[in-house]
Amino acid sequence: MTVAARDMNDTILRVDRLRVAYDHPLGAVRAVDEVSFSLRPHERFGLAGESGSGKSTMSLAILRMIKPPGRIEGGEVWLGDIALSTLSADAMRALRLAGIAMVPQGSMNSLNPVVRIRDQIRDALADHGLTPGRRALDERVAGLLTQVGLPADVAGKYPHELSGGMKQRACIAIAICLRPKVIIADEPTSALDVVVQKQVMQTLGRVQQDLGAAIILVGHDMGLMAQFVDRLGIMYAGRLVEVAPIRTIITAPRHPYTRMLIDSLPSLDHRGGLRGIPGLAPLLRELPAGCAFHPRCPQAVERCRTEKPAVRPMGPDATVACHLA
Amino acid sequence: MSLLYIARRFGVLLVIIWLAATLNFFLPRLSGDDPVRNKLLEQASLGGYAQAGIEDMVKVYQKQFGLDRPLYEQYLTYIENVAHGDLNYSIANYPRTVVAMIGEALPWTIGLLGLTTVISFALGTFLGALLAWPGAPRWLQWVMPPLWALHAIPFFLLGLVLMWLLAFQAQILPIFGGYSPGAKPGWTPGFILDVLRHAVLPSLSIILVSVGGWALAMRGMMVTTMGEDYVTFAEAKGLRSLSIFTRYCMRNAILPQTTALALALGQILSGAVLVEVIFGYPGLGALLFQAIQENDFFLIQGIVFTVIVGLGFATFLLDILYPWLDPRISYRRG
Amino acid sequence: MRRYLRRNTSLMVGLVLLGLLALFMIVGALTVDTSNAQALSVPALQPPSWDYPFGTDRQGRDLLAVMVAGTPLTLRIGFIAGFFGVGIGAVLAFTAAYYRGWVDTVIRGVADIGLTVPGLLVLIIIAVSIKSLLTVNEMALIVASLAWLNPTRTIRSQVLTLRERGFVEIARLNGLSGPEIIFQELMPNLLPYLAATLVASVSSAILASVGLEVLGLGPVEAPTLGMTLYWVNFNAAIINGWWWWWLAPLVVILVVFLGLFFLTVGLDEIANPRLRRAA
Repeated sequence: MTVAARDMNDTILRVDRLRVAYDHPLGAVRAVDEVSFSLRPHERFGLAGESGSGKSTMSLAILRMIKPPGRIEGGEVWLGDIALSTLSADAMRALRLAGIAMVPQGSMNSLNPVVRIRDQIRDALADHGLTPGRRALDERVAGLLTQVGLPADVAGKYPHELSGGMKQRACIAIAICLRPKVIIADEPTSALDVVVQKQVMQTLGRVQQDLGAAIILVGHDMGLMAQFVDRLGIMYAGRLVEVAPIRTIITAPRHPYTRMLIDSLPSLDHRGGLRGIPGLAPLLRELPAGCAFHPRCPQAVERCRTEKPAVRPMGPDATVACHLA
Repeated sequence: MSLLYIARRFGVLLVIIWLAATLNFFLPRLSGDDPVRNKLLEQASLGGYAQAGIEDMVKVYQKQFGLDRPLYEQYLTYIENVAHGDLNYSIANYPRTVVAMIGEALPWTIGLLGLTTVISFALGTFLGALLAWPGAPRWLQWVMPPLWALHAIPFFLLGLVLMWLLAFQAQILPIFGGYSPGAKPGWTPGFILDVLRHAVLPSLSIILVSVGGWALAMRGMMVTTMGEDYVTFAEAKGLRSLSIFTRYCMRNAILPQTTALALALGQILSGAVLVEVIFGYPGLGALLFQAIQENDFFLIQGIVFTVIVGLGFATFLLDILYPWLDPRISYRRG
Repeated sequence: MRRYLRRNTSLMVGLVLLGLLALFMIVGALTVDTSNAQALSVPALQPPSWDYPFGTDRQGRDLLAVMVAGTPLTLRIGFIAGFFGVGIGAVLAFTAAYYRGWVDTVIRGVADIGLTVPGLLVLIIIAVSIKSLLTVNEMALIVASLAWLNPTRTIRSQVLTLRERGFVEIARLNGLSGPEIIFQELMPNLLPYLAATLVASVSSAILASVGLEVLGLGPVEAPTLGMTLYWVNFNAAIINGWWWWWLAPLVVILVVFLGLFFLTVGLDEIANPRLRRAA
């Protein structure tokens, strides 16, 4: 996808210095720290990071689903030209699924165990003001199931009768039933085996193109990201430390953390020992001073220990937060 | 729902019926003697009751359960009798049969127990669900502590207090009985009203104590359910609060709650028996009390048997109901 | 410790209530003449006064003496039966949950079926079958005979969850034998839970014994709390307006049950840390 000079008006979703905090008895914890990025229509954006990096919190925050003791401390999320924080609770509710839809980890527990698949689509339609008759509903459901590659009889089944991959695709069917402009897929393929993973990702890609929607893929599987996304954002300790087109991330990463992530991917070309990243991700309530990554960074200098690096633009589609980039 | 599942559950019911009869037979004989015969002979020698009747009963008893017959033969005779619905005569009320006396008392107990269980379960479950829901009115939280403290005490204790407060002091409700003495039984509105008035205090004793327990349990289940992934996805789907509350949370939380109901039936019944005793409510409880006072062994055995079987049956019904609530069940253990 | 008590209000309330009860029993034992708990000791049907702070009953018992003498009796039944119940229940539960296989199936089957039968009724049959007049200790044993059913089931499910955790495997690989693993690894981890189960068991044992006594199947000579209520019912004390007669045992039983209940809740909170934050 060619990238021309980016027009600011050509964004479908814009996250602007979002901050999310959790109130802990021992002090507030910043789970998302001044994260900003934009999403263009039709774009595939990846959000990668380790556990505890804040990426799942991001998905919930965009949908305004952060619950106490968490709260959105500041920043804004724009869908088109609507600022989400200005919407009433009910308006936000109506926007979910219709404007921004989430695809959860369906293979786990995301489907109501005592309700049939057809009815889990029906209640989504109903609460958004659509009450098709029995036949119209069946047609619509059948259409959705076909789109995600599921047989029509899945409509009458309960979740426990479906395999992990089928459940995941059912979740995708639900997520697209109102033709959203933005899809957030939160770890849609964890707990699935590799063959099924590929099927699910292909399904996801296909529906995204059919809908013409933008998609945010949240996960930690760099290999998956490399195959799917146009641009990738790397999160560490609640900050977005690098954003760049996927080719750039893989061939010329700017942030040391990104570099080590790429290096840690096993390659069929070079044989040799596996390389990991020494140390552990810091607890969010015990963040090191200065750059959060400096204890594990092989290139850390004195400045990194004391001064938190600001996020700097690096070209039209990239940013990085590092003193040395 | 598979036939095998129903058959299995029915099999359990049969086992329970058999167990009840067996317990009735063997427990009294554990001391190595036969207390039934002893009591019977005692009564006969006292000559207090219808003398001729007692002697007849003794003769029949000796024939069936005499010492000259080996134990297993006695046992088989007993089981055979029970299978034919013969629970013998009431020793104290000869010539009335045990079955007849139980038949009179049973509707009262079923009425009281059935009504109060349904009301407390429904009320308590709904209350518990509301208590767990962040959108519910705040003043509800104040209802909880008194209910919670109440549910720790036995039903009949509250019955005593209510009896004193409302029947004795305030005199707005009758003190005991199922209906006013001298009232003519029948399906007249007057009688029905009378029955209802007499049922208020016993019912309240049970309901006020039970509601707290159900509410507490349901609140816990709801909290667990609300943390599930499918509730998060439901919210992400943009479902209304009410939809999520009913179809995603309550609908799932009620499953373990129903299991708890099936398990608690025995306890509820034991408590209700004591309530009937306190209030003189003419159900199985009062009958049992009377039987104990009069040493009426056959009646006692008959009541215990009926209750156990009744409970087994109620549990069976709940078991059958369960797969309808939870579609995962009938596939699991068939 | 004191700080934790303040946070765990249930535990504190439970301990306070039971403490008050203990105080009552001890001070009472030292100051009150318990021979007046027997019938025909004092003038009958006296309302509360300085001589008889709790009043007297129809058969001439000083109700204060009855409470002082009877409360420990009722508690004794509860404790004996409760300990018995949890003791046997724990042994059965650990055996079933650890060894699994047919041992587990048998134990669990027996416990499950036993629990469908309402315990009070079986106790009634047993009590009625016993020829002689019951003593307090015999009463305790009767109640104990069924007290193991519920503890077996609940403790078993707790052990089953624990068993899946890694340290059991490690202990086994280290060569510890079955009983050793049960005593050295599983049991210490379940101590708070066992304590909570014990208190609950005591509470239900007391309930069962009071139930039997109210029905008239208790130790007739003993001035236990349940027997007092039996006499209350027998003599229609409420209708006759002898309010002090039923008030005293009612309050004491209330304190006992509420105290044990709060104690159970408090111990549950310790056993299950997830409950520690106010739900």
